[in-house]
Amino acid sequence: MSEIIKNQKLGLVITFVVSFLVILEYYFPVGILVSSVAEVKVWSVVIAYFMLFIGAAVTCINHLKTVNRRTKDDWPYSVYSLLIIFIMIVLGIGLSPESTYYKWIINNMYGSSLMGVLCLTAFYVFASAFRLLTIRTWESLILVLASFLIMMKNVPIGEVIWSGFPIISDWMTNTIQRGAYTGLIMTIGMGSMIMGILTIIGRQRRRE
Amino acid sequence: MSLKMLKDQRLIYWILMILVIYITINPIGLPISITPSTREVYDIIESLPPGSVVLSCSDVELGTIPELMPGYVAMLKHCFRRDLKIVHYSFSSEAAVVTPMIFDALKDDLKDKKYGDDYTIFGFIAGMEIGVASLATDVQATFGADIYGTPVYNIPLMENLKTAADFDLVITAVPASYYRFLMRHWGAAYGMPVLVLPVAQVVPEAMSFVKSGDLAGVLNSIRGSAEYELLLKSPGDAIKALDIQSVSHLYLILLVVLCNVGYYISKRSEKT
Repeated sequence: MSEIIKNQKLGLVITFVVSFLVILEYYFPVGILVSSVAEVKVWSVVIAYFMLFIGAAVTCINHLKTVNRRTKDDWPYSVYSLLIIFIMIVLGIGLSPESTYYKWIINNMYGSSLMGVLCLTAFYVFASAFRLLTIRTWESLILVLASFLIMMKNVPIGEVIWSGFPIISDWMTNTIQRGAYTGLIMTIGMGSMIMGILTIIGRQRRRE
Repeated sequence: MSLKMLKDQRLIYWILMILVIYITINPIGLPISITPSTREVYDIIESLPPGSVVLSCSDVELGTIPELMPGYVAMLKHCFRRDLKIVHYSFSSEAAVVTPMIFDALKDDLKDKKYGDDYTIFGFIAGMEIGVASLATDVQATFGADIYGTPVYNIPLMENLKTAADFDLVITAVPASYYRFLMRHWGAAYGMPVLVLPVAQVVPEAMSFVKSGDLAGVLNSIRGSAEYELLLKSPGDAIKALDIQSVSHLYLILLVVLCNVGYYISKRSEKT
């Protein structure tokens, strides 16, 4: 038994049994199978909540290590991160997530700074987009034309300029784009299926 | 002001920012036509009889509020106007912040609605796809209690809701391909119609699933949201955003043309 645990075979056994039951329940939804798999799924959600705590704990440990060693120049940011984590935990548990102070920090510090960073990326995407759309080859010409048509389809000014833009763009979306995406999705689906089967039977190994 | 300033990339950013601010203050009000995909989504909600139960699954994050919130609020507004029952939850960890924003925007529509009977709000359910799968097979055990701590068995609306089969529709707003969780565990397993409001880059992929019947309808991001607001006769942020999008797209096209003209002129001068 200790060998099974030591060789991590127990994890593989659990993976196989649970996956097999879940797949069986999907195709044969009968009485006890349905209720037991439903119970397993609820347990999985509970485990997911614990994983959030573990994620937070690991983050704190990593920041503490950075502060302790001070090998990187950005260790003050780790101090700041730990301080914010501590304050939010104290406010969230001590008061409540509905409290004014908690919401103020979330809305005015976290929310505002997050939106600010995303707006900055929008500027960079804009600047790189017009450089990318330089016609150097036939392929880039097709890219530029396709981008132009999709842009004109998504904004009202496209229809104002010419009523044909939405018609051409819709044709492109419904035939070319949809066909390409369908092929891609089917390929990804087959790959995922094979990966899933390998994981269930324990053949999916980490490459060292 | 010297000519060297024209080569500075920051000039592009400044012009874009000035254009966006100007249009925000003085919207143009361009006409917006209704596309078939938006009409499909609207008709599906419109066709549900009053009293039908809708699962509202929000994955709107702080970063995607401008793109997803207006359309999602419009869909919920439509549901409330049709007297549909709403069970709302989120699988985004920012639910604590975003959910109050969503329901603040619906204040006027909630005046004649009773919490617990007409709508109920559950918070964040962890696990992403695991949470969605668990919800489909056992709604009450997965939810546990609402955001006010009321146990699910004490909420009148949740009395007869045990599995996904007890719902009539699912609506969701997602910043990535997370709609697939609902599509797999609610749509494919229980035949539940799923309506999706994704961000713009996910729309082409989601549209493929509409054709195959896996999804009932897809709103085309901010464009679809603006059209939905028009259909509801409830203009909001999405319509304003489309004017900004129109101008910024035209600006980008102008830059692309200038960039290409500049490229070919420099190429020709190199040859000579």
